[in-house]
Amino acid sequence: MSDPSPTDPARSADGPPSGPSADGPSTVDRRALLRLDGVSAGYDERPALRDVTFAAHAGERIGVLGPNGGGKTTLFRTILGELAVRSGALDRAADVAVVPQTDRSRLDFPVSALDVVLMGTISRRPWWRRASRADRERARGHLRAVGLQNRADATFGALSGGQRQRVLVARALARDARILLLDEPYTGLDAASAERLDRLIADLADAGHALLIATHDVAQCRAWDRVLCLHGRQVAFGDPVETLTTDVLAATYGEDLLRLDRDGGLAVVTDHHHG
Amino acid sequence: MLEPFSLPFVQRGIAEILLLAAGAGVLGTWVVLRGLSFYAHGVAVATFPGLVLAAGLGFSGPLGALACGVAFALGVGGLGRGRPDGEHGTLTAMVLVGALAVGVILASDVFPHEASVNSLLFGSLLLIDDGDLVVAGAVSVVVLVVALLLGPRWLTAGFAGPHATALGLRSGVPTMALLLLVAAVAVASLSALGSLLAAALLVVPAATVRPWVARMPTWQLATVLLTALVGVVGLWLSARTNAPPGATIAVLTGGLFAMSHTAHALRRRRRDHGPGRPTTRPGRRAVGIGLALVAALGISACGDDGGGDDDRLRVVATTSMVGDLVRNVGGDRVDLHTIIAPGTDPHEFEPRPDDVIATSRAKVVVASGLGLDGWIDDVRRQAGSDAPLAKLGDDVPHHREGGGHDHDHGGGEDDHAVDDHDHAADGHADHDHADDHADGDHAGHDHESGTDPHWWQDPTNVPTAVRAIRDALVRADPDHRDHYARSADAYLAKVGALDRGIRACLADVPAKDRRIVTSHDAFGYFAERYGITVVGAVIPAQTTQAQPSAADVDRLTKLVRSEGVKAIFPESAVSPKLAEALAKATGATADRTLYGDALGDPGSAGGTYLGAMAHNADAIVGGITGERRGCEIAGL
Repeated sequence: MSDPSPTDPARSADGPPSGPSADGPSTVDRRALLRLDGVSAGYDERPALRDVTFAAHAGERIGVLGPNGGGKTTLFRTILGELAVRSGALDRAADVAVVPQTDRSRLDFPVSALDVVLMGTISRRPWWRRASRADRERARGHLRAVGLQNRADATFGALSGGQRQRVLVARALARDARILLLDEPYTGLDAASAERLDRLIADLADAGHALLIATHDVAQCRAWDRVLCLHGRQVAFGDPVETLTTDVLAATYGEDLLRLDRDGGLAVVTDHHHG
Repeated sequence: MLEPFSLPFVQRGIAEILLLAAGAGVLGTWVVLRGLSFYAHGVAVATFPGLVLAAGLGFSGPLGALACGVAFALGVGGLGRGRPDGEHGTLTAMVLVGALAVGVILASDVFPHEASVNSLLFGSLLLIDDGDLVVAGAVSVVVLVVALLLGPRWLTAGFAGPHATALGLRSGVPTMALLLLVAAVAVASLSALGSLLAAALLVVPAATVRPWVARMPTWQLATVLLTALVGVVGLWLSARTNAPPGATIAVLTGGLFAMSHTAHALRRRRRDHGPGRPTTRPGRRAVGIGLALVAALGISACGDDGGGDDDRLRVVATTSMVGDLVRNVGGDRVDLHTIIAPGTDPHEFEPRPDDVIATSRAKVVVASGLGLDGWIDDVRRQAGSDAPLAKLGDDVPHHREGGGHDHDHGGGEDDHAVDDHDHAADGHADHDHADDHADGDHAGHDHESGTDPHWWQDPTNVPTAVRAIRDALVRADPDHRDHYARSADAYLAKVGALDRGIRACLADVPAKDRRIVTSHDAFGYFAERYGITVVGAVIPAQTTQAQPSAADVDRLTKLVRSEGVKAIFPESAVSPKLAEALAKATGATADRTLYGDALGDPGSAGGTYLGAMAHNADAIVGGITGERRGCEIAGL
């Protein structure tokens, strides 16, 4: 079921990439940045996730599907190193950063967008050193990469949901991580913001990042390079068009309601707030 | 109007507040941002048992407080590890309650004489010494340096919450450092504001400024400025209105906080409703009204300064008791300031600004001594007073060891006491020993804790005290030597009459009936002098700071029944509830109130020493004889 070959079938459909990554995929290193082989992980006694085997390569967008409690968060925390691998092997060839859901972030903090991006640089400095001018310039560069160079000094809590999500992406970029874990980044975004985020994710892939994107949107996953279906264990991994069959989705979502959307595909109705 | 700022103790208070403001203001923003306000209050209260222990065992107060604060910080930080900010609440509440309880037990049962609960809980901005200033300055410097270095980490940890580890903040060290710094600032604020009010400086100004700022640096700068401003204005108001400074500052910060948030809410509502509404400015109006109130308070405080410039001798007396003796010797030649108001318990005391001012101007300071009013040393030091200090109790002929209520005062030794000291009340001996003893002789702790301080309850102790007052007044004002000598003699004649009268009254009561229970152990001298057995005291200690345990009350109830005690006597300056409850449980009466540590209001029966003693004698005789007898004394 798993297919680590670095094919890129969905890329051409997106049209030519724009932004700082205009060098194109040809110059990007295509080796695996992340490889999991039979990984089981979880809290306390029982593993929350078993038998996960896949690889993420530079330039790949991997949709992570699964019901709430299906193991998406466990997977992310395991990849981040916050949860121990109970069995199997996890191999990271690059740094990992997570982009949390923005509707969980502290909107009351007296911080600018730039301040938030600078938080990503903390772990790269010794504790007694404050952000230097160069750090700030680099942070502005990351804001430019997400299209927010003009909002650097805006208060984070005053930005729109989509802008906040992009600031958090810039913060992940500031960590110099090539593996990015995005936790339901489309939650709460309007269509225009979701579209911008789509383009940003494509750009990041073109720039050589490997992106794991937890989502409930099956249709969206079809546009990406790979899909990983989880339900306490790995249900499927592979090319989304081939992988996302009715059987796989039924095994992934179990009892959750399935219905046909207008493209003839399948959509999933879940309650986002219990995740 | 700026006159208070010229007073040295106000200047020291301002220095303390300004030094604290830098550290407390900057740290306060972090406390509010990270949801640690309740923790800050908790850690300040948790220092209380440390302060009591330090006072009791005689080591440095800040050291004891810091030990407790650090233990609290480590406990909360360790147990709360991995939980989001603001969820230290339950833990904090439990430790806070426990710390207060331990402090009260220590203060009432272990060190009842050394620990003044009041000043430990509420501090005293008027009694700041150099050590306090050094501590405040050092803590502020440490806070500023550490906040500068760790600020980005505190910000990130708070902002990212559970994702902080994913940002590379894998250790809890920065947060632990924050908790410890809060403990340090709380300790530094203790001498000024005490355990219960320390959070007023650490939390409230930062929370007041919060709605109006959008970045940490502006927030911190504004908070430091507000803290300093509120401290200075609070001290000034306190000096003008004679209110306790710590509480004044706390009330002021609280008022500003309410105004700030009201104004912000109104402003936001106006903005949300958009234009087109009448152009009244409710937010600005709220601020205006608040400022007007503060201004009115200030102006009302600008009344006359008192402090007449007549040529009378300025004297400060600590208690109403001592004040009455001074008044009787000095008459209209002295301008008397009595620190403890009538009807107020001298065990509980925080000096007010006018006490320090009066002490700084006084030519003579008279204290009761024997540990009852040991705080006068601090007040004098703060006032920069070099006026002679007479501690009356230290030199009186009869000292009684304090030892709870188990002392058995048999009838036999009373006769001995009467005979032995009779001469003292009848006339004045030419030589008195009051002056032979330097103050230093009596600074020892044995007096403070071992000797019953209620010496005046034995009238034969009074002549020595009166002569000590007379001599102190004469030395300070030799031109009126004759006046003071005459007044003292006339007064001592009345004291002699008082003693003879009380003895005569009690001689008529059978010895077996002379058994009483009092409110706290203040009547041992009276009992010894007049052959009364104090079966017990509701508060089994010579200080009202102690609290009775359930076992104490139970034992006393049994004792009252088995000894056939007919009357329990509440005290004027102590709550009568326990005495009344005991009376109800045993069938004894608790109708007659005694004057123990404090005299009654001027003009009342107990408004003078002679009146209070006569009242006590009448009350005791009435109580133990079932009101069949009373005690009328002539010649007062």
